Amino acid sequence: MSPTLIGVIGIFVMVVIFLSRMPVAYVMAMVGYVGFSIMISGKGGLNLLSRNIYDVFSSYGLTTIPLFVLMGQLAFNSGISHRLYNTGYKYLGSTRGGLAMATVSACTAFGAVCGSSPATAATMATVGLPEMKRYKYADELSTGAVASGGGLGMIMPPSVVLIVYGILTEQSIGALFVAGIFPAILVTILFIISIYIRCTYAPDQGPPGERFTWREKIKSLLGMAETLAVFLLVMGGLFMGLFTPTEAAAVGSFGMLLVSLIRRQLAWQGFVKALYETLGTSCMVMMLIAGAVVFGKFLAVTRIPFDIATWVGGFDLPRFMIMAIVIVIYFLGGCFMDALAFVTLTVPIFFPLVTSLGYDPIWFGIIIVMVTEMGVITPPVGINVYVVFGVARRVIGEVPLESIFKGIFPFLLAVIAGTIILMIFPQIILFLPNLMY
Amino acid sequence: PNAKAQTINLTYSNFFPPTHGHAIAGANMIKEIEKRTNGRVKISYFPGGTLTKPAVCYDGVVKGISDIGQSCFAYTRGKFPVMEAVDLPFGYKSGKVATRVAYEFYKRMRPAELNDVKVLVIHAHGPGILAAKKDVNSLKDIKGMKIRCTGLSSKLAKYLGAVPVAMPQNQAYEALQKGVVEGTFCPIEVLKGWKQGEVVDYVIETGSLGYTTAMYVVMNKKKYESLPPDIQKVFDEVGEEWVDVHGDVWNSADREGYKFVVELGKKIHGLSPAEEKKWVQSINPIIIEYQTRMEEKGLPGRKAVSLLKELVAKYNK
Amino acid sequence: MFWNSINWILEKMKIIGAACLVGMTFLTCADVIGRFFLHPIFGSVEIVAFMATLSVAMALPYTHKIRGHVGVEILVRLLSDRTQAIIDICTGILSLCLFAIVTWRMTTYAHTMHKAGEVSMNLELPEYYIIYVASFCLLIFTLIILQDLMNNIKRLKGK
Ligand code: NA
Ligand code: NA
Repeated sequence: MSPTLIGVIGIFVMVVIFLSRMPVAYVMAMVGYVGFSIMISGKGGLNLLSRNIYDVFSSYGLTTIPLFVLMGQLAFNSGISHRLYNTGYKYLGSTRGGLAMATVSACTAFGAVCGSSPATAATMATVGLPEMKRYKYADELSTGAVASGGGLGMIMPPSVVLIVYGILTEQSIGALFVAGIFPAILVTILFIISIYIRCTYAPDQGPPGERFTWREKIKSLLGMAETLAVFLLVMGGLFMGLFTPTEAAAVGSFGMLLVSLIRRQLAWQGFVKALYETLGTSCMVMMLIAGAVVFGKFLAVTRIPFDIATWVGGFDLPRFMIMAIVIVIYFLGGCFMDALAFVTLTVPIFFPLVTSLGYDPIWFGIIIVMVTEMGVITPPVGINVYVVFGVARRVIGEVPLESIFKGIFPFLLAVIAGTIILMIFPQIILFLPNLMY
Repeated sequence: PNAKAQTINLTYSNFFPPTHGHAIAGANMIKEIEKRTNGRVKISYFPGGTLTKPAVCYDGVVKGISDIGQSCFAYTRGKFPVMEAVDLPFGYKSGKVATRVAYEFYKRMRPAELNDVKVLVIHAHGPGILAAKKDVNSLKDIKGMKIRCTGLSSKLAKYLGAVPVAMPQNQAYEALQKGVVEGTFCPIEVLKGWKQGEVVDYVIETGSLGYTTAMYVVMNKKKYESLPPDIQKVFDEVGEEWVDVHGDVWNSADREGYKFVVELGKKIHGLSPAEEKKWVQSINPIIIEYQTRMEEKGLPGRKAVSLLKELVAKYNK
Repeated sequence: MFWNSINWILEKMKIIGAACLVGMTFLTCADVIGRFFLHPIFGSVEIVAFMATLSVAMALPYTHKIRGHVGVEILVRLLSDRTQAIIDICTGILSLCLFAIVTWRMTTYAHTMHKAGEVSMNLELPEYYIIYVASFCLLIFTLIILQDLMNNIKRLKGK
């Protein structure tokens, strides 16, 4: 049997076992382990499994996940998120789908602090889902918004994948970082438009509420002063160089705790509940990542990513066709593999091809990172979808997986539209880096 | 006899990103082995830590996750007590010198800690430098500076009076950019390879930072022993030749790094002779500390240090 | 009796996990403040990563127990109770085997590192202790999966 065939069978088997409701994380780890053992050796597989699970659990980069989830849980259990959405509602409630729009924008802003897309999704789901439910938003829209918004955070700097891309291709990381800002804003706007369109045709998805006077609006904003102070502290500290993104997570949690203590809104029970909920959520997220990593190692040794890349390199087609194929491949890659691993494996092969066709290296980096990261909301290895599914079950009750996928679909269309716009108008990406570098 | 007909499939895991000189050197080594064995050996290559992460690379080779692996001894501290000596600040002049010293040191010491693998190549990077956001001319300037470092270099920072902030290389860019740290200890190559040259303003060269980080290319011992003798010979020969290949990569990487920093318009300078002497004296206790610690454990610390001093003197010429 | 003590351990593990969460938050903040005054806590990165490892590992059995690990229910939901129970038993056996293997290999991993005398990069702490603890967490996790499996078998028999 050829390695490619083993890889394809592996993917197929994994999807079939998914349907047995065995936890997704376990299935990925199991299929990855068996596949790796077949490809390399039984002993190799055994050791791969334990070392990778420990590796994910002990990674300093991933400590942002429990820390940010804790921040979200503290905000939720102390009623801070409740008041945040009240304020948001005073400003945007009268617009159809206004709170979902606010949530998506908040995800983008959060992406500027947090380097991890599942952490963004988990935190925003904890904070946003119960609140949107309170204002009678459909679960489809609210879950879709937090899952998709989480992926968007990855092209907003800082971004681990962009750093790796910069090192692999010898591009300036600074230039890549500023290049990501406008595309992130563009896609956020497209998300907002897609929410608006959806709520126009299906008003029950995000029903409009009453209007408020400016007096009421400002009053409610003032009521949020300490919470805003925490946000300013976190964002300001990050930009002024007082701490790194991971540290921002801890400072944020600590600040949230202080605010809730000052406000006397967090009883001991609420605090303990926040801690336990954080444990459950972060354990779920970490296991999903561990499973995806093990499965990714299996796909890597089947050499499918290399084979595809080499195969495309041999095509004799117009340049935009090749680029379109490359983009589709990154999108599919994101469906089956962790973005970081897929980018590391394939960029060295695609990069010379793409630049020889005359495409700008910075532009290419932003496009593929965006497209690959959107893989986090596509089946079968759509980590964000499972994360939101898991969090939703705890905070608003069971939301069927198919509803979340239905909810994500319009956002996916928005990403595709965004990619096409960025292909036609590369200036949107290149304007800032050309100005600054 | 049967083995001749069959292709031997192996895997090689390397933590360097695929476009890095050492990843390319690894790829060329594979090509050379495949050529000299007439295609009887085929090696799948996994650069960029895509098969095993740097810290699990050695273990991955022993436990059969990959057949061949390249990584740093320093990523698994305590596991290679004798090889650790190579990393001490002996004032290596260049990467090639450090590489030759490290390889010969290994061959003369044959430390038991490497008994469970077949060693193909040992190499080591060029001398460390201080890359900083502000100018440094004396011990007074470096006092209290927050400096990114890990493991051994944290001790250097401490002895020089700086504040060590431990952080892996991949977080250093952001930390420097944001000012979380004000400087970093690294070989100058890193300023280009990890792009950190973009976010510092001064590079200070001093012999007191003439430490290195030794790296290995090792192979699963059972796999190696299962190969037919003529193929084993190819691995031996190519491994021996690739010591200098990797050494040259360090030298040219450091030249490129130097060029990169100059092109970015950053200032590079050394220290005044009097000041230089003070710096070298400040860090001297590190070597003595190592020696005593090893002797206490019943390991040949004194022998390792004197051999290294001898080899550095020989190759630095 | 046996299962009672396992569940007692599970509860205690939950508390340790929560304590680690609090610990990593406070330690990171202390480091940030300390660095501001030129007294960073050297190696805090490492300790925080250890505490994160422990909090996640300690939460494993608890998360399984509360069905925190997500699965795809689209198809199974449509089947009869009996078929559901049979499927759950099959996947339960698979999970049990998988994590029994992980537990076993995690222990040998810790043992390998212990024997080699490997320590952490900055503080030179013996990380293998953490891996031994992680193995213990996985053991309890595996037992909880076993308990789950036995309950499913009872459920099938009861039908
Ligand atoms: Na980000
Ligand atoms: Na995906």
